[in-house]
Amino acid sequence: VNEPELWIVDTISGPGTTEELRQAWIKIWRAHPKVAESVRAEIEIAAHEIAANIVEHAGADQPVHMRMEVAVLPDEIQVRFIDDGRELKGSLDSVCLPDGMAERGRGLAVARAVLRNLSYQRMEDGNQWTLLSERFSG
Amino acid sequence: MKGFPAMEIRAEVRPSGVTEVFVEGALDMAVAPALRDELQSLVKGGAVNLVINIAKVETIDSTALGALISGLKAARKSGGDLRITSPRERVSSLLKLTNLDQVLKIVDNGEFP
Repeated sequence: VNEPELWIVDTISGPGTTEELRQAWIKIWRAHPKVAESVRAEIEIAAHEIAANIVEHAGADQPVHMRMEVAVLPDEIQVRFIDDGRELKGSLDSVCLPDGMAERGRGLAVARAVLRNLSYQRMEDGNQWTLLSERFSG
Repeated sequence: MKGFPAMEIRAEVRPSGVTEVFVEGALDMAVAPALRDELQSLVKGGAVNLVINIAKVETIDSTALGALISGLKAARKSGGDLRITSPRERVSSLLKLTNLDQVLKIVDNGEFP
């Protein structure tokens, strides 16, 4: 069985993190041109929101070690984020969109809404997020 | 154009008095504070009716949406309003998904006020 190709971004979070991830997605889509734009948009939006959450909350605006692993499978995209930051406050199950005039607090709700599944696990020395895109026919 | 990492922003006052703010690039947490400050500063300077032209915005995230909400609140507090024009598919999808299309109203260019 062939292992799926794994795209990895291993970085220390900072002001350039989101741009670094964006560049990685450009390379990934270049290698997988058949993935539909709607799937690309959704997984990228979700991954971006999780990365932002790691930078802002897990790191509390201090640098954290962050690793994004992306596997493009024939019918879905799997993304895993690992960081060595602080534990997520509250439960992912209770995440919902805030009031329309709220200026914060939408990130995780957005990620959940566009994914087939989003899970979070606190590890011994950090956090792990797993993102699964909607299924598609490659 | 004023330069921020991965974002460009400039404002033009239309004959109607509305200020059209042209934003380009990727709007995310790296540039959201600058976007928020720029909108606040425009409102403070008397530009209370704002149309944010995002035709050249490739992506937007929840922190940048928060910056736009902040601008909307500042404009309304000063007796004006803030609208969005020309969003790309990715951006309008996110506005719908977050129900913010009900708050950050999308107008055709020239429709506002």
